[in-house]
Amino acid sequence: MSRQNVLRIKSITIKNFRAYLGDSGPILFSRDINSPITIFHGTNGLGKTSMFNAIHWGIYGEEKKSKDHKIKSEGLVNSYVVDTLEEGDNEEMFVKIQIENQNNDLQYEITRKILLSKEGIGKELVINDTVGGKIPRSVVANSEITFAYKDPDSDDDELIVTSNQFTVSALLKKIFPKATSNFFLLDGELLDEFLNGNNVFVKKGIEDISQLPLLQNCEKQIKSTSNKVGASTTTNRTQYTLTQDRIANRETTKKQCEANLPIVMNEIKELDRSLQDGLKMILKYDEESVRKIQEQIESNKISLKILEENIRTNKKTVQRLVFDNLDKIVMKNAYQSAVTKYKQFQAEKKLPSKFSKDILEQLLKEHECVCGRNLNEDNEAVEKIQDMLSVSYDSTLGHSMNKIVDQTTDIVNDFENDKEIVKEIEECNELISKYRIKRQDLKNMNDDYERELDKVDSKKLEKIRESNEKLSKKLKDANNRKYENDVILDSVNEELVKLNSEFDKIRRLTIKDEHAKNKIQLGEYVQKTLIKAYEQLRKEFVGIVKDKTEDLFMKTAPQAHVFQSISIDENTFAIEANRSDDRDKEISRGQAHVLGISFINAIREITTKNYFMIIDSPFNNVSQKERIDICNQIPTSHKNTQLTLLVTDAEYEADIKKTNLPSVRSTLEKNNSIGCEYNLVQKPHAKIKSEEYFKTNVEEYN
Amino acid sequence: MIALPLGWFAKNFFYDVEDEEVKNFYSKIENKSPLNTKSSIFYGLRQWDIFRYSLALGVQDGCKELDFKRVAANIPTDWLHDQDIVAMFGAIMSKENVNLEILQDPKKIQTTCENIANYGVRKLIEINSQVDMGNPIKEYESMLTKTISQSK
Repeated sequence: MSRQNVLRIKSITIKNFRAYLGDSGPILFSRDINSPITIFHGTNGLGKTSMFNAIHWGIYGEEKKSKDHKIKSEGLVNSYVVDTLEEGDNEEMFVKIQIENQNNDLQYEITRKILLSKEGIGKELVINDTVGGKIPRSVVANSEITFAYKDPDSDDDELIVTSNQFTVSALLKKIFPKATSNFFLLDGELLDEFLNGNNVFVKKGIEDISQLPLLQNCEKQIKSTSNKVGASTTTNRTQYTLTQDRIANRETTKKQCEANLPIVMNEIKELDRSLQDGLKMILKYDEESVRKIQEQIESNKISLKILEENIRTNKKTVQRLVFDNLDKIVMKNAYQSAVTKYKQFQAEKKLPSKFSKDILEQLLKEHECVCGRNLNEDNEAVEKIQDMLSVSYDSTLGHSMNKIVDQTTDIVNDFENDKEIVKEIEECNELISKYRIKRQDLKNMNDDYERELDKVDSKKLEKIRESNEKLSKKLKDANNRKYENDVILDSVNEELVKLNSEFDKIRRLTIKDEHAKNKIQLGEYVQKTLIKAYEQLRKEFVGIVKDKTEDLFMKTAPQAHVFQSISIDENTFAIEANRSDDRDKEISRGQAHVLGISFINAIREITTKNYFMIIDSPFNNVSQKERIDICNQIPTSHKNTQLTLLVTDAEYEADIKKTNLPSVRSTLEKNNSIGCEYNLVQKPHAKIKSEEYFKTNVEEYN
Repeated sequence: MIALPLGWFAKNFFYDVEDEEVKNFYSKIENKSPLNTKSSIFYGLRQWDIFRYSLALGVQDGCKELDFKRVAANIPTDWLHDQDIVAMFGAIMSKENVNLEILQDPKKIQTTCENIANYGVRKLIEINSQVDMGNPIKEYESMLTKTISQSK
């Protein structure tokens, strides 16, 4: 298949679309086949996905649904524009996309607009379908589209312009069938959709790209024409007409069932996804967050206990310091004058001796000191004992008095350190205050956590549970409908086989007209040939796609060595990577991501449509090594395709020093793959009351 | 441990049981006596601790004595601690014209101390009535720091 139909984006101009406030002017995309990549990078939340969706909305009139799509309160139009619109004012939001062919001739120009006008002062917010979000009831929004295209039958460079909604819609549908959007506008997070056999859009997209159903339709057409051979040519008119009618009737039923199938399957998919999202939320709150919050509460409670204990200990210390010292301090003067008196008594040797009269008299009698020394020749010692004897008591009061004097002296000596007591008390009080502040902080924190838990438990979770119950019922209904549809389809198909064979028999046996007989035989022959051709081509198509996908996947997939091959379901086109071992391990997100990209590239390579390719979050869930591998493969895997990547700064600029891996940017620069590079920068725009408005600028990166 | 000669002090010390406030203060009645009021700094302590504090406050005011009618025996001497004895001797010895001869008259020491404490206990009751129940130590703590800062 030759590469004829090359389409590249020349530029995009955005005005007031989501984060992009004001007219961006034309943002040029790379059309250099040697450096085909255009990069938009920025931190999360700055408008990468909005840029992606601006292109999607420009072409299809709706944004691409993300995996966790929700109804957002803010719509497509920048909130500053909506919020500051005055009564009688008009404003517009638009996306203009210019598309070129391989010769750099402008081929198409799509301008999709929303015109806003304020026709009152009402501020009540209502959901507006045109804007896709809530805007004041007083704001009127109208959509408009202009499509300019080159006349394929003319050499004239002038574009033909049309604003007729139906014409534009029909033309765009022809050039960019919705089902093929997955092959040029990719959301990195949705790449694993290709692994899902239930995705009817993937199947439809592949069929649209491969044009394989043409043969099937042709066969059906011939069959239908052949079946129309009139009843007048047969000898058994009644049976002939009856069977003909029954076949037509069953064909109608079959068509209905086939038409219902993608609708109901899509419904099941959407319901299942919403249900999974709900379950994830419940799990998140039930297991992860709740556990973490509870752990934090428990840990805070332990810290609180420790703080309480510290406060109590310090309080006790203060109490002890006060209680042990207050009475002494109060009696400071009394103790001091008592000690003075005691000293005076001691000097006058009036204070009772430490020894009792009995002991001292005994010592003198035995001429021996308490230490065992002989006192016979130590007159001085004997005199001392005699002195002591005169003031000693013949009772225990002597001992007690000396203890009282000693303890009183100690108290008085301790007064020298009484400033230390104040210091110690102050230190304890400071600690108590510090602990009290900490305690309050922890209590507040726990109150917040408790409130959060209450909120999660009582309201949010309940709502999610209720919603999930409803979704489960709907899913059950949808599955039942699908089952019924499948049953009807199976029985109709079975019946049709029988009826057709019966009808063939009737025709063969009862048709008199030779001419009609020949016509029927010829039709049957063409039918059989077409079916064979269709089956053969489909097989070959799947085989080629499989080989190419396998080739790319094995070169770029993380841990590719654990896989030995790729298989593609011939009916659903679902892809699967087969492991080389028998382990029943699921493919990782990163591997699924690469498998999806490989599959898309393989299909694009063998089709005639070499359209631009825009990937949002191309490196989602992919390791740094795999990112570098993918970047190095781009020159061969994407060849002449214009490629636009919307990446986070972290994915784009980070180089991993530990493993010596370069960044995505340096790899792409080394391969000379980057043609244009833009940095998304958020700037504050205005502050109205408490609300702050920001705008995202697309700045050329030098 | 200070071991005064057996019988040196009488078996019990006295406080003014005829004064209801003083009686309650020394008693162990819940929420009436600081000894049995959880928020008090005297909670769980001895009657002697009240006596010693009362004595200290009496001494602070110049050893003022307030005589009273000894009606019933109240505080057992058996529970005397060293700090109580040291405080009593400190109080007695700080008095002018008191010398060692007082040791010959322990009854006088006891009576003098009882009278000083009887004066002081009224001050203690007043202080105690002013404490913040949420932070009972605060009042005493301020008193301590104030006294320390004022003393030389």
